[in-house]
Amino acid sequence: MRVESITELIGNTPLVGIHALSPKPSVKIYAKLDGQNPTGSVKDRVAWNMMRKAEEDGILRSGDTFLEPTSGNTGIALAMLASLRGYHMKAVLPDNVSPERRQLLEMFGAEVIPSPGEEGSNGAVRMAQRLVAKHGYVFLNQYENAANVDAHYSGTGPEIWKDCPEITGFVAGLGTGGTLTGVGRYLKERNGRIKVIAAEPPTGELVQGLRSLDDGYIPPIFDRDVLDSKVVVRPAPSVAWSRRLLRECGIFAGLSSGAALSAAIRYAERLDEGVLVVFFPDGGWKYLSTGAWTGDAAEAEERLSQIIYF
Amino acid sequence: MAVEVQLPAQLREFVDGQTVIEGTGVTVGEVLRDIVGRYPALEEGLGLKGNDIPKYVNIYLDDEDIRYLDKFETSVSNGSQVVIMPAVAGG
Repeated sequence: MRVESITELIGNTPLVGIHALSPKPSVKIYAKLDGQNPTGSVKDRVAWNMMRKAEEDGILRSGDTFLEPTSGNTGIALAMLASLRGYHMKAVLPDNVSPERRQLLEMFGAEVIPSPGEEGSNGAVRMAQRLVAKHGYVFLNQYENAANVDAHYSGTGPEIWKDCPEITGFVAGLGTGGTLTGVGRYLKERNGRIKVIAAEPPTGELVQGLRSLDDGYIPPIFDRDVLDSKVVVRPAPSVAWSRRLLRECGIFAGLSSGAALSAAIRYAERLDEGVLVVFFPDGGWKYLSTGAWTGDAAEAEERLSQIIYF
Repeated sequence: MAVEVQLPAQLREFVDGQTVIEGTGVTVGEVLRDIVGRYPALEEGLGLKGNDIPKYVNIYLDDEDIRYLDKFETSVSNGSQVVIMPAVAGG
């Protein structure tokens, strides 16, 4: 393979069988390794699509400053692309993400504006909205930008369908809802019997800074109706499945991948047969400091209960 | 049916600071109504109106979101756990 720019390496990620982890031989499980994108996460797809759309629409011009609320991956992807295309980037980042996420943002040239960790991503979104209103920065806003969903509807979804037309279920973590909405819509249009399952982390203790439940946030791009099921996956199974992936399949995936896999296994246990595709949005590199693979599992789970890893 | 309901930080002021309350009923809705009967302020804190699950609230029965089960009519069993959490984004 020979390309002229790193952006040509975005997408077209591999689908790898991890059948050894399936609870029954009649249910096959494939993992879509989106950690193999250039900055190490699925968000290269989203960032690249949002940036090109903004350029086409004349919203983003060389030398502009844009601002984005992010729990890490979208910001890292945007920061890399911004440095290639001559933009300045400010990232509003909750102060309780893993230190590697902040390091990568700064490495790629973004200015990090910390938001209160106890308000989670919701607090970062609100702070970003305030700063944009005050300073007039360009705002791509992954939570409201249709180009986020489109990156998956026109990219990730067709890739999965091409590689695995026998798919019966798609399982992914819920962050902005972009992957689930875009891939879920595409796959259901191809075959209405395909089930779409979301995994999400427990949020209760992590967002104590939210004053009331009305401070919750549903990204406008997320279409709740595309889901058939949604499960919460706690740090313990997320760590346990990430470890099994590493040891039994040789796959070093991030902790939200472990969470998605846990949800897939739970779903597989109820099936007589099927072919599941589980989406792994990033690799494990950014979570080494949690000790999830290297230290005592209980200590890693405790650390995870304090940080945002979706 | 006795069911444990775990409440997020944002709702504890309505229930004397408790994090877990036991309720009884055969559906999630009945269990919540039982608790709201004892702590009426919780109804507004939760944003309960009619039969709709409040927009920014996720209610899980044994870790599954009841929006994708039978909503408030979802049956519980003895020893089930209901967990209420605010909706939070990632990315």
